[in-house]
Amino acid sequence: MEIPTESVRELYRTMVVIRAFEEKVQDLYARGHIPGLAHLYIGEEAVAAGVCASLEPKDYITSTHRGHGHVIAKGADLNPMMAELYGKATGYCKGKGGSMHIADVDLGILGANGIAGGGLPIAVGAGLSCKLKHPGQVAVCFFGDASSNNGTFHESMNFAAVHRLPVIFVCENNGYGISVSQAQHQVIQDIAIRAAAYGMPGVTVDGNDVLAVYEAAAQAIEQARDGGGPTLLECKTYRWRGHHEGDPNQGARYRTKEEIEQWQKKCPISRLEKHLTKTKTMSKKQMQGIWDDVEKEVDDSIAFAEESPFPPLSEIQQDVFA
Amino acid sequence: MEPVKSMQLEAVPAARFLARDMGLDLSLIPGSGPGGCILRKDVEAFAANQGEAAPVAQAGGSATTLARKLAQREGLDLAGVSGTGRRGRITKDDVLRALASAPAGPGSPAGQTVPATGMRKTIARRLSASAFTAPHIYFFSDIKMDNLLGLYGDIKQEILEQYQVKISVNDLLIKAVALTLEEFPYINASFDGENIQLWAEVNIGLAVALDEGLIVPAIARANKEAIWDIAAQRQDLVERARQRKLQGPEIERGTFTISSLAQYEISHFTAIINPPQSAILSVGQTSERVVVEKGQMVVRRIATMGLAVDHRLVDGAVAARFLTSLKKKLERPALMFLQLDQSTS
Amino acid sequence: MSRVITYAQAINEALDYCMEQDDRVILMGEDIGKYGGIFQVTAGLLDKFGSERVIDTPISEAAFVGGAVGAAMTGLRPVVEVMFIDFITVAMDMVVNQMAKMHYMFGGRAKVPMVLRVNIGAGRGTAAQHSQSFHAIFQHIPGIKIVMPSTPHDAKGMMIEAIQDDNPVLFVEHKKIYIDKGEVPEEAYTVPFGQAKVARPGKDLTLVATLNMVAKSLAVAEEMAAQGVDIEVIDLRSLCPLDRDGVLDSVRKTGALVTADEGCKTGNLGAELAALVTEYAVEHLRAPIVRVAGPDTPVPFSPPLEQAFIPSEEDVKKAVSRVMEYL
Repeated sequence: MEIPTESVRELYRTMVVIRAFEEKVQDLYARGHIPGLAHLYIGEEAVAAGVCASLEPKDYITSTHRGHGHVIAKGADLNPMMAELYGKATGYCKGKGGSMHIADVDLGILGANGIAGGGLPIAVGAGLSCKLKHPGQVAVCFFGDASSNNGTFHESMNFAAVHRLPVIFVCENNGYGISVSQAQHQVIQDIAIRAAAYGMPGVTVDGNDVLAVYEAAAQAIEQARDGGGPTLLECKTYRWRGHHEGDPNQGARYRTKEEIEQWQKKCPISRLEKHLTKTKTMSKKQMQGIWDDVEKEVDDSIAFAEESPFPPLSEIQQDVFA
Repeated sequence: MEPVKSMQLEAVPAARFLARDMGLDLSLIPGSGPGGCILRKDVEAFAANQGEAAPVAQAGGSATTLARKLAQREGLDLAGVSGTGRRGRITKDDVLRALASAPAGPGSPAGQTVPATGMRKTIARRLSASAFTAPHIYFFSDIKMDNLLGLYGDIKQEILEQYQVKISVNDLLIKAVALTLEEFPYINASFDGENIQLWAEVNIGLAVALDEGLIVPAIARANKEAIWDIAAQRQDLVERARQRKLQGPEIERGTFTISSLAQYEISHFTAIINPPQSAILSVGQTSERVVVEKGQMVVRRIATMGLAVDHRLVDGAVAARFLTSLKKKLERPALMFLQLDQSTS
Repeated sequence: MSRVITYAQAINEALDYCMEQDDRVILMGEDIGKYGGIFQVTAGLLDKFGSERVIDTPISEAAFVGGAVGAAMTGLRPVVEVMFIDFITVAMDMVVNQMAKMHYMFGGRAKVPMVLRVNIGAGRGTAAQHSQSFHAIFQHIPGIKIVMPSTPHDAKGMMIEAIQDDNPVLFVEHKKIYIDKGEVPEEAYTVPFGQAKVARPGKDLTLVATLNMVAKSLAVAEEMAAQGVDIEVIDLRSLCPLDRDGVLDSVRKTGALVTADEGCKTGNLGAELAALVTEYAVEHLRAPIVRVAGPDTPVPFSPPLEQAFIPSEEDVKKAVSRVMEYL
């Protein structure tokens, strides 16, 4: 597939934003500036970037507890994102959701979800809306390998298939639930084969090759837009950090340092940089320029968050009902 | 599900709040609700019928509990005290001020006003109810205690060695009374105006004197228990009575009461029945007296025992037969062993 | 213009009206289309509105209840039927963690305008897993409106109100009253939430009842009126929002409360009413608060046992009599 140069540059930028944001969050968290939980997307950037590149603002996504990457890739603004992580009133959810529940329905982001498998039926519902009311629009559901064993996965896949809904199920197979490896939680290796059980196409790609992800996602999204029904897209990737910030030694309880290092060698950003250099699409200076811009953007968002006030106590009672 | 019985005064919330607001003492208000519970209408009726005999200040408007108690203690009439509390309530400070400035109120020079304790009020209420509801008739009998005392002397050491329990003559008396009650089920009973409740168990209450009043724990199943078990129960109940550690059921289960003043130089006395029971035995001191047997004067150790019964339920002849049967058991304890029905001989 | 129709028909009318007025309203559930719903509440709607708007779902409560959440967040107004309240447990995460919380968690940025229809109640021999009445537990989850209309009139009005409400509404029906008949206006109307109905005014005792217990309470009230006891019967009909003032004002007037709801006694919604009264109106209480409720057991199958399970007029009368001892 011929990917337009501009799109490739966009892919690069998106991944850099995600990486920079997450690395900053990691640091802030370590220094105790961010309350609550943080589940970092470092290492998986290609999946979010590659998939969301083919989505319009009106298209929907549902995300997971590890949702910063998806939300950024879908076009979220870093300021209210960072403010939400800080629990400030200027956050996307007025500080009442936190990292795991960032949402912006205007941008089609139907929320990061703290329940494993929780986003699947919601994406199906969004798909139903699209089919009935907004033909041509699609819903993308991000979920992990561990969630593919959850009842909601099977129910949602079946429902979407039987009603031919425009839903793209993107499984980020990073090899682990929290501490239980894929080999320990399921017999199959390629989750995509489960698509056959529901009568929809299933595709497996190298989740750290952003161009491969882009291509596979674009195809599935196109098919859904045309009324061709759902697809299951499995992206094999790896998270560099532990399950959450606080998971001792980046998951040393359940995985080896060697394994982490092996995957780090397959860093999606480095791989794209090599490709950009080889194809002379961007110079090293240009790439550095992007890093610098992005770093500043992230720093600005931190300043924004830190200067913002916490919500007033009266906010507790607000928004229970519309 | 049975409502939980308690030793506390039972009143519904509306009654409590109304009594408090009207400055009325709940423990004086008779309850017409289930189990004697005080209802709001009882408080209303009490307030309506009340004369000047209010023990707690009324006229001067409401007062806090602290203020009322203090005023009572000092003999201060609250009627003349102005209240600075919420809605004009008289507070403790108001009373202190009044005491500081005013001359001594009525009742203070000549003596002391002591507020009655909850226990005293309860005794007052219950015994008044008993005295004024159950028509009491009294019977007395002089009991020759020699054989019983001899039996006691005979067995006490062995029982101590075998059962590690120190029995007393009282335990033998309790046993004798319990066996006699088995012969007279209508005395081991209660009358509520409509029905006679014949009790299945014979639980003998023992009046225990405390500093502030009287409490009557009951020995369970005295008719069936061995002497040493009766003694053990008695000791435990009396001990806990003195420590105020009795449970409600241990008092409420009593079906008959023995009141003993044997340690005082009292020849005989009358007692008021412990409601809802129907009879009570009063035991005077055992003393050496001269009596006539077969025309000869002899000295015997005699105790005069009194039996009071509720005449609504127990007629004179029945009471007489009961006391006679008891007397025979105590004077010839060997007959208790034989379990002969003494009431007819 | 009013005429007499059944409770099920009244709900059907409400759905029909709303679907006609607003094409964002869709129906989802098991066997609601071709079959018309096992209690025939959705009969005829598939033919009228087509299979895109009346969806016979697979047996996947999590998928279609959660799907309704997603659809509601993205512009539709779904009315989902869960065949028996017992089955809602299969979709509990979607109800508790998703449906109830989206609006709050997202700082008000996402609305979930959906209606979740369920039915409670024993008495049709459907046994332990199809006869429960645990609607009270949803009171404990903030973010869900809960209504329980007891008459065909209220059923139609509250359904239209529920569909028009921008919040998730748990619409609790009772399987024994689907065939009850009542006067229902032909035209559309709404019955507001948060307002209990005084089904029978009285001054001696407040009897708060729900669904099937309302009729039994009215019958007991009539009977006891002849004995000089004037009972105020309140049809609670809205559990969240709760008409606190309605209940409290009544109890302040009468000083006595009996509650009647078919749920098991422990944790019955009557318990929350009792707590409310003892917290805010205790000075007025003249008697113990008695809850008429089902026993703390699963629903037995055997007909005489099942009948005994359901709180009866006798049970209401016993509760009232116990309270009368204090009045």
